[in-house]
Amino acid sequence: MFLNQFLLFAAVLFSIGVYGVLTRRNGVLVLMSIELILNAVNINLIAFAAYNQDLSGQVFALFIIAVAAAEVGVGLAIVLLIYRNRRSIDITEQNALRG
Amino acid sequence: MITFQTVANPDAFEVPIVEWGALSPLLIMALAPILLVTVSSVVPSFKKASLPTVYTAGAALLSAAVTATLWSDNRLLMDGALTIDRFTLVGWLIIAVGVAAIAMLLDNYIVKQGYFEQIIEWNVLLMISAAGGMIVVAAQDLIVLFVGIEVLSIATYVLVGLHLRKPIAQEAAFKYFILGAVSSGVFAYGIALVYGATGSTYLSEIATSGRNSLGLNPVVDSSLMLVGIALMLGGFAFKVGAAPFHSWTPDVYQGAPTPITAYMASAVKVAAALGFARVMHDAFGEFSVDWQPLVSVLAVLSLVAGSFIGLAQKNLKRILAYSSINHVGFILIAIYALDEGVEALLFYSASYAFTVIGSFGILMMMTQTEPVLAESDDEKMVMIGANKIRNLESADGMTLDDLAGASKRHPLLAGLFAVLLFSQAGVPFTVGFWAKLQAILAAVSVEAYLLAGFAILAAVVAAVLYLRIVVAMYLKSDDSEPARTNYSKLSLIAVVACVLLTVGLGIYPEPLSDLVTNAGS
Repeated sequence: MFLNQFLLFAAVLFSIGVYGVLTRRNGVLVLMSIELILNAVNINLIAFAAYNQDLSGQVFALFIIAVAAAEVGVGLAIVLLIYRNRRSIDITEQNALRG
Repeated sequence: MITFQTVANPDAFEVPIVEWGALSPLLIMALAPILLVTVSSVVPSFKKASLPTVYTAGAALLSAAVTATLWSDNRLLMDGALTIDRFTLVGWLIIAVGVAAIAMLLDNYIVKQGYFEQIIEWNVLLMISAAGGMIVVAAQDLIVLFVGIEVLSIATYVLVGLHLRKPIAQEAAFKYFILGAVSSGVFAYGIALVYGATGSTYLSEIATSGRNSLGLNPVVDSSLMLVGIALMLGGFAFKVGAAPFHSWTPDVYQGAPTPITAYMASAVKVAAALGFARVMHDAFGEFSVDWQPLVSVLAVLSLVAGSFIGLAQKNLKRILAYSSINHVGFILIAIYALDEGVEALLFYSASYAFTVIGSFGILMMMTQTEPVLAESDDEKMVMIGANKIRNLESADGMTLDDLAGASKRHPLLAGLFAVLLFSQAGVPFTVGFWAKLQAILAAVSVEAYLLAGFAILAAVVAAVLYLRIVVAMYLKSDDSEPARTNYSKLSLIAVVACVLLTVGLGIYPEPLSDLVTNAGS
C-alpha cells in the first residue's frame, strides 16, 4: 500500500463531507457530513503515523474521535431544540437572521 | 507498598513533570465550574440571588491574580505541550478578567429573561469555555491546541443556544455550530497535513524540521506543508471572524444572548487570535513568505468589509458585529508584522476586549429596561412561522432608529456608550487610539505601507459607523422621559470599570504598554 492511496481516500471523504454540508437540507444529515470530514482527518493522521513510525498521530486520532462525539452531542441537542420550536429540521427554514 | 507495573518497558514512556504552580490559573478556571456544578446540586440554597455570579467572577479574578504572580516566568510546561511566557500570561489575564466582567453582565440578563433556574449552567459553560481559551493561548503542541479550540467552541455553541425560548438564538447556535464544526474539520485536516510533512505536532519541532523531512520529493513535501498551513489559516480566520470567513459573525452576534455576544467578541476572539499568532510565528515562521500575503489579504478584506458593509446595517448588534470584523483587520495587521507586531497584537487585544465587553453590556442594559418588556404576557409570546418572530430580548431587533432619545431615557448609559464608541473609533484620549496607532506603526515598521494605508482608511470609514450611533442617541429629537433606573449593580460595575479603563489607559497608556513589552522574546 502506498501513502498516497490513503491520502486520496481521505481527500475524497473530506470532499464528500463538505459537499454534504453544503447541499443537505436535513439538519441531522449535515451533522453526519461533519462526521465524514473529521473521519477523513483521522485517516490522514493514522496513515501519516504509520508512515512516520510515530505514535502521536494515532493519539491525535483518538482525541479527534472524542471531540467529534462531544461535538455531535451538542449538535443533536441544538437540532432537537430547533425541532421543538419549529416542528421541522429543514435548515433552509432557519433564515430569520439576515441583513 | 503497592507498585503498579502497567508499562512493559519503563523507558518507553516517562510521565512528564506536572508544574501545578504554573498551571494554576488554568486549573482554577477548569476546576471552578466542576466545583460549582457539584456544590449547587448538593446544596440547593447555593442558587440564591447573585451567589453563582459572585462565585464565577471571584474564580475568574482569582485566576487573573494568580496569573499576575507568575509574571516573570518563561518556560515550557508538561513536557513541552504548553508554554508560559509573557504572551501566554497577557492572554490569560485578558480572558480571566473578561470572564469576570461577562459573569457580572449575565447576572442581570439571566434574571430579567427568566432563566434564574439555569443560572448555574450559564456560569459553568462560561468558565469551561474560558478554560479552553486559556489552553489555546498557552498551547505549544497542535493536539493540545485543537483540544483547546474545541473546548472553547463547543461550550460557546451551547451558550449561544441556551436562551431556550428564543428561536433566533437556536438558529444562531445552529449556524455557528455547523460553520464552526466544518472549520474545525478543515483546521484538523491542516494539522494532519502539517504532521505528515514534519512528523511532529510540537510547534518548535515543526519549526526546525525544515522543508523535506519525509525524505520524499521536496516539491511534494513542501506542498503538503503549504496546503496544511493554508487550511489551518482558514480555520483560524473563521474562528477570529476575518473576512471572507466572516459571514456567520453578524447572524450569530445578533441571535446570541447579548452577554454571550460580548463574550464571543472579546475572550473567544482574543484567544483565537493569540493562538493564531502563536502558531504562525512559532511553527511556520520559516514559511512567513508564503503565509504573510494571505494574512494581509485577510486583513484588508476584514478592514474593508467591516467598515463598509457595517455602514449599510440598521440593526445595532449587527453594526457592532461588523465593527468587530473591522477590529480583526487591525489584529491581523499586528500578526502580519511578526515580531514587530507582538506588542501591538497584545495591546490591541487587551484594549479591544474590555471596550467591546462594555459596549455590548451597555446595549444589553439599555434594552432590558425598555418599557417593551414590561408589557403584557401576550407581548412576550414568541410567534413562530409566518416569518414574524417577536424577540423576548429587544436588543436583538434594536435598530438605530430605536436609539432616538436614548440620551434622555438613559443619560448615564448613553454617556458611557459614547465613550466606548469613541474608543472603538480611535479618538485620542481613549485607549482605542493607542491600539490603532500601535497596529499601524507595526505595519509601517515592516514596510507594509499599503496595509497601513488601508488601516487608516478603514479607521476613518469605521469612525462614521460609530458616530452614527452617537448621533442617533444624542441628536435625534425625542421627548422621552428618563427610564426607571433599576440597573443591576454588578452589571453597572462591570460596564463602568470598562469605561474607566478605556479613558484611564487612553490618557496614561504606560501600564498596559509595560504589561505587553518584551512579550515577543
